[in-house]
Amino acid sequence: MSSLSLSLLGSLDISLDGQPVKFRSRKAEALLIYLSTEATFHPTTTSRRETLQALLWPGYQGRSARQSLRTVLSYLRKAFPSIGTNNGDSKAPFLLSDKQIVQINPAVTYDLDVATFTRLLRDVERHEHEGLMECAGCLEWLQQATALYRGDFLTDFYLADSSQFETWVASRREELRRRALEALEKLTAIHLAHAKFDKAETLARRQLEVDNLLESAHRQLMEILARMGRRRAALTHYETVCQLLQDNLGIEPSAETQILYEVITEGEFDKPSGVQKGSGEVAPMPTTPLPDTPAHLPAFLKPSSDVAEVERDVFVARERELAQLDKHFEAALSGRGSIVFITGEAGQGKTTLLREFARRTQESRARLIVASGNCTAYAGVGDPYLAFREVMVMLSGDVEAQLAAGAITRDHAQRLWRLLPVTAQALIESGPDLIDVFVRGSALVGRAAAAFPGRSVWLDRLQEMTASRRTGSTDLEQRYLFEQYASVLYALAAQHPLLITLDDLQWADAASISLLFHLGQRVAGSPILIVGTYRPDEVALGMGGKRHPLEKMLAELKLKFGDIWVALGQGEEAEGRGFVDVLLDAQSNRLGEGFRQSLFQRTGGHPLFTVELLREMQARGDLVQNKEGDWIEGSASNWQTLPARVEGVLEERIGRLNPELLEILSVASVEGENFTAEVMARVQGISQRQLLGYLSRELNIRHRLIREREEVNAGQQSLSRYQFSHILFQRYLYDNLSSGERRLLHGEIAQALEALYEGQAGEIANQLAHHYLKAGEREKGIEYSRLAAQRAKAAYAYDEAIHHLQNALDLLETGEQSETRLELLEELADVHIVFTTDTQAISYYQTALEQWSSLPGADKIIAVRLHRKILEFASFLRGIADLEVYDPLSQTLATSQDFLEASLPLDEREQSQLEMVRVLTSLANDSDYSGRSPSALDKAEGYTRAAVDLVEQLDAPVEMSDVLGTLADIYFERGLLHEQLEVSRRRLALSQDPRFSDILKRGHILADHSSALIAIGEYDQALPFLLELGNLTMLIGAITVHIWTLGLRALCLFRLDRWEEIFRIEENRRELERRHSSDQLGGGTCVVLSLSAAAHALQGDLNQARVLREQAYAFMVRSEGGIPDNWGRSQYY
Amino acid sequence: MCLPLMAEGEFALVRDYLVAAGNKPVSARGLLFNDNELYSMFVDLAVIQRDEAALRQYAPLAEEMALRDDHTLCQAGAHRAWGVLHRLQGDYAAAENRLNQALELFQGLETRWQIGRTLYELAELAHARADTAEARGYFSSALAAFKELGATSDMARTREALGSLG
Repeated sequence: MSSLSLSLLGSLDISLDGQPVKFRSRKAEALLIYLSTEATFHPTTTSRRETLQALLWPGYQGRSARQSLRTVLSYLRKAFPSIGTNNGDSKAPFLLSDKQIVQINPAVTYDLDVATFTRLLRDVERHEHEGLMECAGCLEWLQQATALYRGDFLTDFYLADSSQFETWVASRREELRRRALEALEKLTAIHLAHAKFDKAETLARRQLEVDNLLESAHRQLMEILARMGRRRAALTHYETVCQLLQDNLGIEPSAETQILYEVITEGEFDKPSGVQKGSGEVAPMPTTPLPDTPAHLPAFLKPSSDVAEVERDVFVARERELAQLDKHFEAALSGRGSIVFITGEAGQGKTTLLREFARRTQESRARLIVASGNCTAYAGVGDPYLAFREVMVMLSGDVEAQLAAGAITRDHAQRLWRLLPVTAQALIESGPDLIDVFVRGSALVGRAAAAFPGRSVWLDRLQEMTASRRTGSTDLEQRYLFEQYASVLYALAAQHPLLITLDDLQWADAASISLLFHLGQRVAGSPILIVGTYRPDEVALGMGGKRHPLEKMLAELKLKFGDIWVALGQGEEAEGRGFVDVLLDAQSNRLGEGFRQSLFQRTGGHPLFTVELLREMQARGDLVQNKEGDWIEGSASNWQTLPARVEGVLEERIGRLNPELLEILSVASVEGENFTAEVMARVQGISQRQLLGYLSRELNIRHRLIREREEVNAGQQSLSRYQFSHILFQRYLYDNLSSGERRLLHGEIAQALEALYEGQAGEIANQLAHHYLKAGEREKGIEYSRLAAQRAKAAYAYDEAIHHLQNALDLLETGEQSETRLELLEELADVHIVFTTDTQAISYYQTALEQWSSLPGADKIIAVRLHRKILEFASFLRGIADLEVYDPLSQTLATSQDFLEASLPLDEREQSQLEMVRVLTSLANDSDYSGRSPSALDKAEGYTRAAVDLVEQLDAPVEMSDVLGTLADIYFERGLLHEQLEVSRRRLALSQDPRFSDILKRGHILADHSSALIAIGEYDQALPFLLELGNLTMLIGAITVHIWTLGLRALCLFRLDRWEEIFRIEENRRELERRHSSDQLGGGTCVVLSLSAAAHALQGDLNQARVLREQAYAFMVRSEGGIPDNWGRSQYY
Repeated sequence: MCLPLMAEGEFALVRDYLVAAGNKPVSARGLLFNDNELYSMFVDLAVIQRDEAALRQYAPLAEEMALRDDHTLCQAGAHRAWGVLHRLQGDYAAAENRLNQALELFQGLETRWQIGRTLYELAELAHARADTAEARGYFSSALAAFKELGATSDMARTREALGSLG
């Protein structure tokens, strides 16, 4: 029987009956490799001929590609006419094909190392054992798998003329390498746990041979050395790691590595515990705590502390849905993260399923991190990123309040606390702008200091960063902020798989939905699963009279991930009945078929209805417990008097409250789904102690209508927050209040909140605006709406800022002419210009100008400022918008130009002088844009010089830099490159001024300065500025700009004949490509690829050069949607 | 940029692209294809192809741009182009002067490949003067520079030249 063996891990080796097989064509080998590998990963899939032709002969026309495939297939058939099958001694044709498809005959057997390798690792993942460390079977499988991994997939095989094939190889290579590293890491950990240090050391070093920047492997090696008694070697190795990371990535070791270093330094591994120093195999010893365990658990997390017990939801009969979610989770664990949605109407059990899934998953995965966020109906639009803020707060170790309230378990809290250094470091390195937007910096520093008193470099950096918090850039794009959020999650997921749950997305604000969509583009290559819930009926209704933003995002995600919905309430009748049975049988009972059927007929198996109806029946005495404790039907049981709809049962449940409790809960319903005990006490005029008693004992424990949620800090005091056990209770109560009662209560609640948050009212500006608006208190409503808008804008949540400003405008009486209206219109326009390119902003500015002209004695500088803003935005639109958008604006622009020119000079006040500088700069920029003719440049230079003269007399570094930026552009246009460089040097010096706090402006200056240096051939000098710019763009998540920076660095290096460094940049770019969607990569990709191609060609590797060059070309064709006729390929590479 | 095509030896294509790019205004070409980049590519191409006419056309332009912008790398490239042109025209003294200026500038920039290429041109000049010993010395130095970078095709070219010296 013919035996075929294919070895693809490492160098290619194909043999038949032990004899090497040589092919006449590399394409034949490539086809065999592709078919056999894909049969491993997708066993049930066949390959279409067109796919294979495009893969192997991308440049060939139809007929010749078909002919080429036929030829290669004939080579393979000739080489392997028939192969042994899994059916005894019989043989079968190796290949099957018809006019459409080609495949390896599923009946034949052959050895493929890739298949064996993946099967062994899959066996390990699926094996049910007490623990991996003690499982002999898994140890054996891991050893076999890692032995098969002789090297990277197809180390020395490439097809010169097919970038598609090379791309496919690269992706498989990466995936297999990742799996191999995971296996080696596990194996190292097992040997380490069993004190088999020699073996562990060999394995750790083997990981580093595959990837010498793998920090987890370096940590393992350090720990191994330390445990072997080679502390000095371990500490020396740390220095090596520092150097390696600095040289290659320009970063410091992670917090985990730093902590491990400190642990080793302090000699914690020196205690022998029966282990012989430097020994090989000795008896197992208990391992010390993992190095990622902070040494200082706060008192509230210690086992001895009292914590509230987590109240478990009633959860039954959702095994099918859990299995669906498990499947997505398993995929995420293998690096195929995604977003999944649980959908269903109110009361179907979405939240319960979500919590149960999180609980079970966390129980079975020791390293899993779960973080949750909730959207609320009364925050929704207007409270940006609420759910994502809650997620980040949890991830940064803010767990005390939730633990105290019983919202999370101690184990869950400890995991999150231990994650704190990793999160803090990720925030420092990848998400600085998230601080004070998603997580409060001062609180974070407080927690970090508590966990690591005086022992960490990163803690110092965090303290320093928070203390000198730079202001956010007004120009920073929302997507940069989102990228930072994604990068932080990515950094955490590199250490621990993540499960992020987001409840009630139908109430999410637009900014959160955009962020969720961004994450959806980024999680695909990581162990991150995001599970959200929403109600399709609410989404279908839209938001604020418009299409719900979630709807569009869902359509996009469907295209990317396929079926990602777990729908509740769409099962068969049997499923609903099954729910009733399982729910009843969760407690001991003697309830017969008749009762069960009646209950099912009444509720249809609707989870909330069923649960609440049973509670109502217990309260009414329709269900009672016999002396054995079994539930039985009461003697007075009467189905006729029970409510027939879920609303009815809620009404009855609430109807059981005494008037005092009903009053408290009614007031609470006005605050929202979540409410504050202290606010209720103030509004009701009762003591806090008495109120907390009602809430905890009566409404929570006895009636089960609310649950404790968390404690929050307001100034020096703690506030207790509660939540309705289901929002339908809150809605019922709120709807039963008269409009007058609601108005009054909103006002009282607003006052109580304002008093409790005295000095910090900005933090709850959104709620205060909401309550004052509902209370009809105009002035306060406007005040807090503006404040909420400012906060939303600072968080780049522009839809929310507009929503608040629009609310404030709506509060003004029709026709009212006031300074407030003018200010609101200007603020609204200012928000619009940041993120839209429509002309709405100009309309607002013009309306504001009308307001200005109607106000007697209004300051002229306001009109100047408004016209200047119109000019700036219209000039900007002219550069980017279509003619049909811009043309109608030309008259507006001319009017503003005329007004501004006629207004100069302004008066002598400092603010007027600064405004004049801005006006002159805008006029210069406008001239510069209009044609670049010599006269336009002369005009622009005239304005600019006037602005420079003026700003020289003022102490205004930011305005000075802006003017000089325009002057530098004019010099460039005139070909005065050295003058341009001088100006850019001056700007660079100005940007050192502490008042120059806008990080993005610093970035622009660095970019301009580097370009000025490159233009005159000072490549060596440009490199450090480009490096700084690269760090900055990476920090703020500006990936497109970052890759462009890589392109410029590659250009400098190429001109300096430093080819090896170009290859490292290309590797860096590839890493980014793996993590980001292609639309984020931008034109810098082509520059890096083509320069890398050039360097390869000069080193004689023409094949690789052509592959890269064609990739650059293909990328540009893809991203530009084609090549303009009048452009040559030279434009791209 | 045309750099990969140039490195792969697709000179005809490169020439077409350069001519097309040269017909566009600087602002349309951008930073990566500014005047200095463009003319240094033209002269490099001419040097590689020993294209006397192109050298006559572009060496002055490249030099003018480089001097205007004080662009050292392009000045060095222009000197080398002039050096090759002078050699082709038989003016060996002028060629030596130019090539030495180029070498000095490239050495100041520590651009190893360019140093190797200039040494190669000096070797060719020595060979043209029938000074085999000096040619061998320059070729050997060029080879060392190319080896350091792994510039395979240049190494082969230089070895061949060394071999032909006997």
